[in-house]
Amino acid sequence: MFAGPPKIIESVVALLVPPAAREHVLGDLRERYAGTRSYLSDAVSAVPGAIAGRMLRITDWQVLAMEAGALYLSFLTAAWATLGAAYLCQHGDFLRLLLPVALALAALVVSDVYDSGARRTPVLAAGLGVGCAVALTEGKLALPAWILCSGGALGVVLISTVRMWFPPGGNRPRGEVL
Amino acid sequence: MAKADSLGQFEQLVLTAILTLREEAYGITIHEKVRELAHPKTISLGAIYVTLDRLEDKGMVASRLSDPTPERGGRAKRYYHLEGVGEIALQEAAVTAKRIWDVASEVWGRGWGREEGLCLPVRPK
Repeated sequence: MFAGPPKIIESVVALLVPPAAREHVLGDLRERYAGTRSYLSDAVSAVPGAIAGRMLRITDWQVLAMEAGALYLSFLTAAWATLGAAYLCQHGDFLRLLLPVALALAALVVSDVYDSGARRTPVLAAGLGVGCAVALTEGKLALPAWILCSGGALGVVLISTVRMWFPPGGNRPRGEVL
Repeated sequence: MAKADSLGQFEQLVLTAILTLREEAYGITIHEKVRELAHPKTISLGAIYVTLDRLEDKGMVASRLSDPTPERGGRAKRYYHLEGVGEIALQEAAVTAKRIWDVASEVWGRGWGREEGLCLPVRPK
């Protein structure tokens, strides 16, 4: 019988490690197990690397730039239709529109990293990003909830279209080194 | 002949570890070997995973999952091996390092760097 970490701790670490790396990373951590404290220390050192490795591997920066453009266009259209160009120029809202875009992009990248091969749901990821932005409606960077919702809905349509042409992760063609 | 990407210093260490470990190159053993090679620098296990992912993405190493083992809680090991491009890149890096070593030895003297630990060059008079 081999000693191992408490189940609860191992389950939490398993949740944090991206599914594609889960098998070998958890195995490596278990092999090095020499007590709960050392296991936690190893996990803290290994998990960020496993996440970053997966993120760099599956993220296509050109497609991410296209997705950023599509999202910004969505929020810009929603803001333009609601407030008008003059209001946007006066209040510097062109820059404030970057907040929901950044949050939605971050949510998309994280959802790709933790994707386990099931059907992708950019709706969920973009929704999460917009949700975070709505949660910040009290702050200085706040945008009206209506712009966030309509811009988010348009963004989901555009992101879905981009992802139909350029599927995320391993399905994308990769460049050869030779 | 195929032209390989140039390698960073850490990538060279990881490729050298895989080269020396041969059939036994997986996360833990690679980490131990890289720590040995990079002494006295501290190397985290996470840095090894990021680099292995990057090297695999560049086509310099390939990996396969082994059968699960009980000492790993029924989890598999991911074994890595060098691909041709990785071997060429490592050879180029080694040749460059050898050239640097030769020139440095000429300037700083043959005895330079023989002792383990911090090696400060002796400036020629």
